[in-house]
Amino acid sequence: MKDQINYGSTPAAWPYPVKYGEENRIETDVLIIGAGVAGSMAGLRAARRGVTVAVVDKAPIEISGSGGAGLDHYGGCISNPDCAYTPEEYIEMNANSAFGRMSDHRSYIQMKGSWDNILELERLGMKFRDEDDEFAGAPFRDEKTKIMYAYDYVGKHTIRMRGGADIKRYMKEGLQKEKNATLYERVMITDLLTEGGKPGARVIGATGVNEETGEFYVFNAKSVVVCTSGVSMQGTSTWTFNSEMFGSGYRADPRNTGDGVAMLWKVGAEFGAEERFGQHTSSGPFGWPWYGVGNPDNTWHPCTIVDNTGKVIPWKNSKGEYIDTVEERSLPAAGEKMMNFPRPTPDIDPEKIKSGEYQLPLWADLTSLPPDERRAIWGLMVGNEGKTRTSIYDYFNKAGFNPDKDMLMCPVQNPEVYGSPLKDWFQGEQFNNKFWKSDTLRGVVVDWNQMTNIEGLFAAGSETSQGGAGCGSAGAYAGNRAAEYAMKVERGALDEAQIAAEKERVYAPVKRLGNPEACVSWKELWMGMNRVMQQDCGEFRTLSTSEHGLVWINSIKKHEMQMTYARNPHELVRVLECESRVSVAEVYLSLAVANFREADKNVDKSKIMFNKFVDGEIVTTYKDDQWWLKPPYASTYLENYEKCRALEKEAN
Amino acid sequence: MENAYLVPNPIAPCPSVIIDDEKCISCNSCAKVCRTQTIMPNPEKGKPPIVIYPDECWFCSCCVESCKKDAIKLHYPINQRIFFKRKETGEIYRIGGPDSPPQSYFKPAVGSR
Repeated sequence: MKDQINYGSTPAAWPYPVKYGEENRIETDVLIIGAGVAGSMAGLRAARRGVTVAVVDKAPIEISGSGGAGLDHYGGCISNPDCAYTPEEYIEMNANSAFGRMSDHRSYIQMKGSWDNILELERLGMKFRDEDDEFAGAPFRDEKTKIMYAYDYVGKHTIRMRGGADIKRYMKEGLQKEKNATLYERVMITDLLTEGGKPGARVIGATGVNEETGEFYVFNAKSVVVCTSGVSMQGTSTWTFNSEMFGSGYRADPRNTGDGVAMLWKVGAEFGAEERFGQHTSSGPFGWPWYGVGNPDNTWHPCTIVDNTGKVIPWKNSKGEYIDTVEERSLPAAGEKMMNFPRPTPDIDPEKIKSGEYQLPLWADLTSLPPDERRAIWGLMVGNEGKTRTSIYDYFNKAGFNPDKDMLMCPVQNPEVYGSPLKDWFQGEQFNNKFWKSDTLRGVVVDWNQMTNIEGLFAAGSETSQGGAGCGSAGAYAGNRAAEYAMKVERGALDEAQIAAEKERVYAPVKRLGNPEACVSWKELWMGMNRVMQQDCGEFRTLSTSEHGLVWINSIKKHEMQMTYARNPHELVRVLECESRVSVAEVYLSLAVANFREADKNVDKSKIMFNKFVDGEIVTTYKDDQWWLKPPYASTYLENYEKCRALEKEAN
Repeated sequence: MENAYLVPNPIAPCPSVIIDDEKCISCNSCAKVCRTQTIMPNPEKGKPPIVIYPDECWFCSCCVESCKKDAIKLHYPINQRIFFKRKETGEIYRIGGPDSPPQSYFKPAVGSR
């Protein structure tokens, strides 16, 4: 292991100049925190409005964020001209389904801007259409526009992302061309700055630390857009309280540590209170490779699945009717305008596995598909999805796998898993390898301008759980609104005491070096905090366990969190990320406590609960259902949307 | 054979990233793009980068994709090396296994830059 430095060998010098505490002060109109798909698009659009923009990410922007490893399909593209329905119809259709909770103004904004956003990607150089006609005549291809759709060839809400493996590279190149935008990479934002240094006051900037040099950053901005993981509906790693989030089987960006959620909570931003707790089904670090599992519900739709003896598993449509042809697997059932959930999938009856009629393992049989479908799954989807171009597509091809000749093994699981309605095998061997997870469906609350309850503080992310696809249009919209806000307000004066206090917190783990009591590594803090969540905020939780969790977390904050050490800027940033995670845990436990307390109060169930943190207490408030269509807002989605975009349209 | 040392356990179950010193030109493009800082530049100028935090690698492959000299490969752990079955013959092979067939599918991914 020649390249791995261990105890006993002489440590190499840190390869960058170490500048702990050295300050960089930057004035900007708009500050973007986190430049994943949402933040990059926010930065691009804000810069084009003529204001100065600082785009900050703790990783290199060409690969940062959840979309940084690739994106195979662009979901929720409801505003594309060929989609069978409108955003309004989509919201109505989903209002009473399991997905109803994602039907609000944020999902409308995302869906409405999704077409414009994919055209923007095209302008940035991502040629998502089948322009070299490789798939001419394929049932998923529109012969006029050369757009290739996925899953539902009639509904046409999801576009296959030819070249999606490089989505962030195109975005970074786009940002670099904007003269008003300045990029700050390897800088982790540590906290928000407010007027007078007070929580709840207008946000006027943020502090940060560089993970290569350890130097300090102070950004003074007129408006701030938080685009970090977990501010919207999808949290990926943010809500995962597991100790092992690395390795080839791990799917989400391990650096989604909830830094934004932590700072939003501390500043008093409101959060939606719906939450899910318990064991999350996912692949662990050394589990099955994601998307290399022949999952017919997702990336591998509509792949034929056979049992170990070669017996073909029949498919059922969303109405539960058996379907005969490969083509029908990608079509709505008779009478449906779009494919309803659950999507058509192979009908793998658990009883038939138990009785031996179907023998495990199952195999994904690409060879039996029409050539276009086969190539679309293997070359277009697996070739572009997160982490798969190199780790599945190239690696498996080089290892002799040939989609024209070979079938790929599906993970062996408990028979019931194959019978579950979603059959989401894309999560690998999900039930063999459970993750501890808390999850949120509502995230931070924003108004029609994507501004939080804190003045000057905006947020954008995956507003419809559509991952990288939804993020782009939400980011574009929020970037425009933040630019407009910056144009009309005066710059706020920084509070030096607030900056000094944050600097003290940030560098404490470095200053403790040499103190024998400072023996808590970032990994110990992480794992210890995970235990709190696994114990007190798991599948079974009560008011007493949630309150106990808060006591536990607070005890760790006061004790072990004050004993951490950092021997270089890398470890320093990891400690700070763990401190973010501790805050995220606190948010979750607080939401759980609020839920239990409010449950006894006979509040009208149609009302939507919000929680924020004020002076050390959780403050719970309610708004009416569909508050985003009630005064002071207009009564239709379109009216509100157009009104908020009036200045943008004028500018264009 | 006779030598043994007091060394700690490996940092991670597998080495994650392997750099071929012969091919590497020390341009550090992999270190520049690694989002977890698994790979860091060598403090000695002109020497290959150091794989310092293999325990934080999540196999996103950006280092492999950034390397112009084909000097980096990921060491995929055993769990990633799953099976495939040749339909016509029923023969079973394992990814990276000792008896795997030679590469026979060469098309680049759709939309490669």
